[in-house]
Amino acid sequence: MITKDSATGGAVDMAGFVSLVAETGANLVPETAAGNISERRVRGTNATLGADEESLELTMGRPGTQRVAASKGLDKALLKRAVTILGSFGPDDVVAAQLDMDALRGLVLELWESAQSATQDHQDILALIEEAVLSVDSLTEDQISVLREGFRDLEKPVLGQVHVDVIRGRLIGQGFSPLALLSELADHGDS
Amino acid sequence: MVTVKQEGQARTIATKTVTTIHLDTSLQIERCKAERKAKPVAVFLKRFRFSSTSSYAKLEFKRAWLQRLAYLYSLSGEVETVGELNGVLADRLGSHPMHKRKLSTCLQAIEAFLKPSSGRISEAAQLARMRAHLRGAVLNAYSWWEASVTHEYNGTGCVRASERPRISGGGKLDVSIPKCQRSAVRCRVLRFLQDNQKHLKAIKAEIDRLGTTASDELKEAKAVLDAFENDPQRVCQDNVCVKLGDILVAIDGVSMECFAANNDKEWGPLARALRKRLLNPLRPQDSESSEHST
Repeated sequence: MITKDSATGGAVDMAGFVSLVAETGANLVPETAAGNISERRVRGTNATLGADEESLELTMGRPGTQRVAASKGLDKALLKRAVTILGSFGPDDVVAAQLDMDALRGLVLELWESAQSATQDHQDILALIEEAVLSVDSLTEDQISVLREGFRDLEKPVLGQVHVDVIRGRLIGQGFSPLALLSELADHGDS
Repeated sequence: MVTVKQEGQARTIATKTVTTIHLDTSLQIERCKAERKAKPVAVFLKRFRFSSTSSYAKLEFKRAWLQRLAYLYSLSGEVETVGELNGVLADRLGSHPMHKRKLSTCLQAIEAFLKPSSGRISEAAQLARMRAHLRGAVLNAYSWWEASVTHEYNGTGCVRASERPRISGGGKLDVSIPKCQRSAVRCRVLRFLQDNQKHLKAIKAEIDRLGTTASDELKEAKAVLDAFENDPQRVCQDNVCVKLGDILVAIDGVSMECFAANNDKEWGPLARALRKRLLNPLRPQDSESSEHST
């Protein structure tokens, strides 16, 4: 799916969208024309990163039915940038690695804006990736390989549970924990 | 070489190399944290060829963490913003003292999830992000747990631990822990206790020896064990067997050479009773030491 990047004027390919058009036969109407701001519309937090803001809205065929925001997907420009960073990641250079990790964390965070309209499978893989990049200071070659695979999966418009399972299994195999973000929680027992 | 503490004196003795270790819930929880926190345990465990835990420890983990996170996930589906979620949580849990820990865990979890994103993405994106992380934490925790040890002992056959968190038909997270009743026994806890009378006797003796200095948890467990002698089937009830948690976890791994835990009040006496070395990698001075050698 190619949409217009409002910030840069360039084309941004959105991955992970769910097209309701084919399923419902409904009409797609630009939001501005409908004059109705989507509840899910988000503000751009970093215009230079090319996050798409041209939201579309789905009008159901039958009169009186509710408008449903058309799902889009993850910002492909950000995904490509993440893959590029991983491609040149040098674990041996501590300073460069730290800068790359900061950039990766920033990109992943930025991806959540577009992830709101992506599928649950896309969100699940993005969460796994974020958990990983937030929990370590640097990456090994094997970890880089898994993360690169994860970002490439996120570029696909359609994912299944098997994609999530594979990335989860490989990240756990590389020592990442799905609960790493909860490190500061007290170890409470019974309620 | 191992440093052994006896009567307040520390001395170093030669021992055979220990290669197998049994982990309590407290250490498993440390291990699932971010690398910076989990590293001391990970480094410590590298020296062991075989690490184990108990399925009963997984039950404790499920109850203390996963159920609460699933609850938070459920509530987060009812609100539009994280700020709203805090309000709903306070309304539902805040007024009841019994829910104090649940509320505390939920609030800490929200804070932990928001910390890296604070003010940098929209509120709607924050909520979507938090929900995805909660879903992942709950659904992926068992996979992590199983991959984290060489073996998981399941002497108790606890069905409450074995049921994996899953997404139910309505898209909700199902982390239910079914009730157990003596009229419908589905596990092997009773048989497990009957088969390990020797160990139970030693544990009771150790708790008796500690007297008033024993922890409240151990005292409660002792009361259950005393009642068990007269009415064994009494343990076939979820709110009773749960009081034997640490004891069940410890006996499950009794064939291992040593124990590792981060709650010494309970595990110190258990290790002494079962004549195991107790290691705590989170206390640097103790990571090489033990209260009792085998």
